[in-house]
Amino acid sequence: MNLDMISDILSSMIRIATPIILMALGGLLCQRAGVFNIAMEGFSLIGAFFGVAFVQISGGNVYIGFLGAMVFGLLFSAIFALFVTRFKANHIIASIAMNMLGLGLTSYLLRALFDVQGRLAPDTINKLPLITIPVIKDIPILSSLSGQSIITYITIILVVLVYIMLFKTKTGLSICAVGESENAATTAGIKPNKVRWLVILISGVLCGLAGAYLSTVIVSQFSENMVAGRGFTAFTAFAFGNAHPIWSSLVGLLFGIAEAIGIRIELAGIALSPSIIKMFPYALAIIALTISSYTNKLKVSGVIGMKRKGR
Amino acid sequence: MMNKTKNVVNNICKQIGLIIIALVIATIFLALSGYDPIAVIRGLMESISGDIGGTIRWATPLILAGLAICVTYKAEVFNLGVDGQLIMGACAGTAVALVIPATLPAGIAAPLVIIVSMAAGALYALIPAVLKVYTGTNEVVSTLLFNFIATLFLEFLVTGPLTDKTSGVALNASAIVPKNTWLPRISYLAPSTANIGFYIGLILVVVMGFIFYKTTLGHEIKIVGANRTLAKYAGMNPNRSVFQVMIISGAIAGMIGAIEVFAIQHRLLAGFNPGFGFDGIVVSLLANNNPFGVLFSGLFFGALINGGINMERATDVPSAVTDIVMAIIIIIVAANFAIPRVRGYFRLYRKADNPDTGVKGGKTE
Repeated sequence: MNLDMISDILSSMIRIATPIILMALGGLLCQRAGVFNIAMEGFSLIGAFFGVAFVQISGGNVYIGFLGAMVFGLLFSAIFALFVTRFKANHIIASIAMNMLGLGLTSYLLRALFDVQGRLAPDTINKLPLITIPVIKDIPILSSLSGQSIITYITIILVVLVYIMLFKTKTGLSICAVGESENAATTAGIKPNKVRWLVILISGVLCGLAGAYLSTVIVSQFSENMVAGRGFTAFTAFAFGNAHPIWSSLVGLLFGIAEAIGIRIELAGIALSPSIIKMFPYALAIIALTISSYTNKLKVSGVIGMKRKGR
Repeated sequence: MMNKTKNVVNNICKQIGLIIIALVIATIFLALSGYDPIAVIRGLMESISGDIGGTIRWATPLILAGLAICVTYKAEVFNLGVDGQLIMGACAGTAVALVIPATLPAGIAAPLVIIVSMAAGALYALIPAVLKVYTGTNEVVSTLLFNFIATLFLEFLVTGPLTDKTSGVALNASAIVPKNTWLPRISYLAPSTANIGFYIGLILVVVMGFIFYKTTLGHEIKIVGANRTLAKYAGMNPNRSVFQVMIISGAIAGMIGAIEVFAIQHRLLAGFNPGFGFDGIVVSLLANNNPFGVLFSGLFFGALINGGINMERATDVPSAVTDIVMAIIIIIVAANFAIPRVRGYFRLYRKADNPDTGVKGGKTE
């Protein structure tokens, strides 16, 4: 195991973790506002599809792809927001519906708009440039931070922005207030539904971005159900990270490294079935979720710390 | 009694209304994307009426999945892991079927593999139940994650230990299971793959209905679902109910896996499960989580899915339309927004007719 190999693994860790962190950022805002959002899977799938669709329509322009993905992520999440707030639908069931709709809609549009089945690879695609950071690229190990796509750097900025918004602004206070106690928030003049609309729409945009990243940066095509549970992994990331932007992002990196090491093992040709290796991130997610739930349970029963209401 | 009948009629009207709304939205959607909706509907109707066997074939797993979901739902537990459990059931059943002697009489071999599948499904459902009860892990997310692990495990089995070594090409499938484990198909619906699983589904609908409405077990499950604290003070054990519903649900899921393998595919295929677990949620929700309702909504969705598949074969309309219809139905059911108006209309109507029943109509929930 030499330095090159380590920075190689770290580099793919960051690449893999970027969409998970983006989804987790949106999800944790929802969690803070008391919205149980497991529809990130569906939102991202829509983003992944429209990312590629707009690249194809615009003749290879990836920026239009990202814009389209974000717009449609926003529109799609608006349906979820409408049903969760206006019609008071059960959050879990509405999420399931959105995931199903995302899957059905993308498969359907693939046939209806592009007349292909299973996958869509744009004829030409100008991939996002990779950005090399001058000094960092020469430092061993840290060099993995350089040479990433611009979305990764935007993600890092977004983590900081979400942190500031959540803990240093009035909006953040409203979000947390609605999640902690809806009645108290209403008494204080906050409109809970307005706050929920805001966080769900933000999560829609971020998931759209994450989806387009998956389909235009990591690979250059859309394939059916390509998000493959990353939305749920993102959920466990912020559940384990206690809905804190920075901790959740670190957990996202943990999932990234699990997958990166898995890919490395697969490439090394160790006699272990690739299917078994692919289980690692999911198994890790279950373990992380169990640990965080257990500590929360202890908190709720007063063994450690104060009670924090999740929902 | 009169009132009960009226409630049932009212409920059925509600659900039919929901279906109509979903179909109207889907039709608008079809028209917007450039298909001729009238032709699509006619094609759908023709493929439904011309292929009863196909409807039964698809309705079987849907009815069972609907039952698996509705039992957990009664206890306010969300088992989104039916997909994983049915895969694990199929894996275990196939593994056993491939090692038992082929000379074993079918009367022993077939029930044996079904029981093994059910046990495997139940065990796999038990893991999230244990995590939920002892560590408070949210079963919604954990069961979802367990689905992915089960899918990968299936992939591992059919490309590794259980792969078909007799054929030269890599098929991502197991060897054909011995004939003594095959479940019989329904002969008068041949050549479709409608099978004895449908009868099992019918029996289970009655059994579940009996359990829910006539036994202490069902009563406890409902109380636990309605109010956990009350159940505790009434001397019930909510945790035990969580285990019970998850085991029942997992066992039914395992049976779906067994039916898919031993009655339809006759081998373990990598992608044999098109997502019956999630379809089961729609089936159960549309049926208002009533086992008898599950029978009818299962048949309805069976017809819809089969019609979609036949239509995709005949025309260029993608069968994903059925997924969209299902998603619209589930979200409308969840939103409940079509219902108050229908109910309000009925109540008004009844009040004018007979004030007594009008008041009691308020209890419909």
